[in-house]
Amino acid sequence: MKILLKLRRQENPTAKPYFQTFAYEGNNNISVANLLNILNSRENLTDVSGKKAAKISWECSCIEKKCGACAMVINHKPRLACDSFLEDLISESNEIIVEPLRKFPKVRDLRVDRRSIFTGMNEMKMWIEGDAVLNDDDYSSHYLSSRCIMCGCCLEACPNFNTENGFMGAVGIVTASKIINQNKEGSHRKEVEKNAIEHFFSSCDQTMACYNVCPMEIPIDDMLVRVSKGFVTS
Amino acid sequence: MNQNMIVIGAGFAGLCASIQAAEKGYQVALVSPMPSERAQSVMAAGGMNAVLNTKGENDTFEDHIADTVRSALGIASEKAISKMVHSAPGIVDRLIKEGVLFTRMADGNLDLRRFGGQKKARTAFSSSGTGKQIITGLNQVVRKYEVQGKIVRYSNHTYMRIVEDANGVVVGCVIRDNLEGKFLVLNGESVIIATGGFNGIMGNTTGSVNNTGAVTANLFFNGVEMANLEFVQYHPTTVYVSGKRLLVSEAARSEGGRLFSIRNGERWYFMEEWFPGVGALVSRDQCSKSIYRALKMLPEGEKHVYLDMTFFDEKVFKTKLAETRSDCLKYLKLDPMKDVIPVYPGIHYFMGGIKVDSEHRTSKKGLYAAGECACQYHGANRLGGNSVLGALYGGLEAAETAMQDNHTIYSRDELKVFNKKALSRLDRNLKMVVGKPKQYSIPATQMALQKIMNECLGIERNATTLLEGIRRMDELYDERIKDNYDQTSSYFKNLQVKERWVLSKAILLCALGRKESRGSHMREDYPEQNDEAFAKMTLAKLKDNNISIQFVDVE
Repeated sequence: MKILLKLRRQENPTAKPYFQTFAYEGNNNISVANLLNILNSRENLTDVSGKKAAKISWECSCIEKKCGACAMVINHKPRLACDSFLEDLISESNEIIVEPLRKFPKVRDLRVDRRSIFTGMNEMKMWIEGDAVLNDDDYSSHYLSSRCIMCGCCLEACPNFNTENGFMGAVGIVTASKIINQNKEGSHRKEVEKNAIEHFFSSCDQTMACYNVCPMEIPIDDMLVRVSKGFVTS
Repeated sequence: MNQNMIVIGAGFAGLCASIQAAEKGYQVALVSPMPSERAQSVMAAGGMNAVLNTKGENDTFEDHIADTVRSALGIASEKAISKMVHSAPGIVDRLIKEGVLFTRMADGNLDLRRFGGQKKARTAFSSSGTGKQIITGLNQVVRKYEVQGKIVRYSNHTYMRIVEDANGVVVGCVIRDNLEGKFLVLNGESVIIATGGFNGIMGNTTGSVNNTGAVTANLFFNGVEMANLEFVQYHPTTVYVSGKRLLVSEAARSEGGRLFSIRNGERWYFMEEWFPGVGALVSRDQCSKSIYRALKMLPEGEKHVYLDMTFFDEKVFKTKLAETRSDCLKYLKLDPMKDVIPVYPGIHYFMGGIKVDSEHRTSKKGLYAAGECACQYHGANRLGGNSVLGALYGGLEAAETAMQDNHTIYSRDELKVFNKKALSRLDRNLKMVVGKPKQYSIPATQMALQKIMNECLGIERNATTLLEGIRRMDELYDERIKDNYDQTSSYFKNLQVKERWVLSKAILLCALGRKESRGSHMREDYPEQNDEAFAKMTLAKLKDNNISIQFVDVE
């Protein structure tokens, strides 16, 4: 069966976006990441109407769901291209729609500028002062917190997030849940707690849209409860 | 005046180097095309070796050194290995203090894995995601220095070339802002390269596709010496997924997984036939080589090897192979509890790379290298658990050396002259490729190059295939690289093609020159190890457009 990949393209941050469709025929048990690589390595990349097309710009590193580089919107849902398979996507229609994450500034095609995630981490002072406090009971929760790949899918899905308002969403609270817990009682911990309120609790409407799109299936609800419980007891 | 260090690459080695320097008051520029979360380091699952002796096995530094040296087969520096081994427990301590979680036993002590080739259990780990846990911890430390202004991250930036003084000493580098598309020059008394293995030269590896080998190739092109390039580790059980190879954990074999192929309509358990009593449990290299040989003996169309785990207890899948099973279900739509898994050896690690001395100095003054991009610690064969250690320790050590070495301090005006020269050389090189008549696609050329490398530098090599590889490489140059400009690829990708081509050719020449078999370098035509001639390091160098290969004593 011929599969059509409808791609939202944009040459540069200010250029007008447009859709371009590419055709693919072959094994359907491949991921969108694989398909993008196949298209880009064609000797002559042409769209479905035979028009010569520029190579598709996108970010990619591990291709096995460990790094978060390839987050994009596929069939209207934020997900990782390496974790989205053609045969699952074409159950309803043989057209797959691929777009960049919409909440972040565009760079080119599927590449967006996710710097705000990382500068936000710095603003929230997500580090440990002195030696980390380690507690056996927290091992599993801390382990899951550190699995966050900072891909941005949670922020894309979040109705409260934009890159201007300082709201850090699930990626912020998941990281904070471990950082707060591993810091000794003291001024730095208090500051991180304050930052968690400012960058998260003050604006989160708890729609939990993030929960359903996290590719790492991090129990965001548990992490959120852990942090807020800490506030109540301290 | 501030002391400045530039670090290229933000995985294990790059982060450790940056932290070490920032801690000593240095001003660090940390350059990487993507944030650390996307570094290949996050893919490291197994763990890191350190003599922690928590299992009552009387593990000693001497044991760890002996295992590493034995595996390296005489072509790695014992002095360097010894220093690394002695530092390992301290590094684990430091990581724990930074909040990195390691799996512990009921008594509260760190649990240790027993990896292949080691006599004692020595590999500290964090469930099945050690690399990701360590990177998260190191990132926290870097964040603090970033806020203090001691480390400035240049994420979304790509290394373009080094800046040299009048004597060829490295005093900075040119980088490209990938968001703005502009060049930027950074100056520092030292530049540390921590860019990982040259996966992109071979394609089809278990690592990140972002480890293109472009920096290594550029340095080689600019006269930096390389070592042991022909030593490439193949992991026996990998599967093809999304244009690269996915690892099926070594635990599959250690739990008793059986390898077979179909011959005359029947299962042929070649490992059990060739290694009675041991079967698939031979070393990685032996196993990869056997799979390769079995495939060669099978007729076209039937060249498949399968891994059978269907008879394992359900508990094993839950406790030890949970990730492996979920990977197979997701990527292959096969359930290892019911289905056999088609496997093939895949490239997993490059033991060779940028030549460094035991303190991580490259052949160019002011330039240092650490982690997989550097040739250090592993020799002809790397032990599981030594790569994470080698990268973490290497980063710390490279930064220490760079801080202790004497460097000429130049004024801003003097540096401006050097910077201008580097920029104009870059500009000139770019102008030389732009607008050339042929228009072959760069990614397609890249794939053609990888194909030659894979076909001619396989698990087992011989002079015929290697010479054929060199001939095809020259053909590729004449047909697709010379006078070519692909308008649909960026101009610096156009520029890099030739550099990669030269490095690829050097790798083939190294393999051709080493007329013996040693560790991961297996020559069909020279099956024996020849210590008299080749217990040496293979040194590759580009001078006046000529690749020279020499065999030199190990430090």
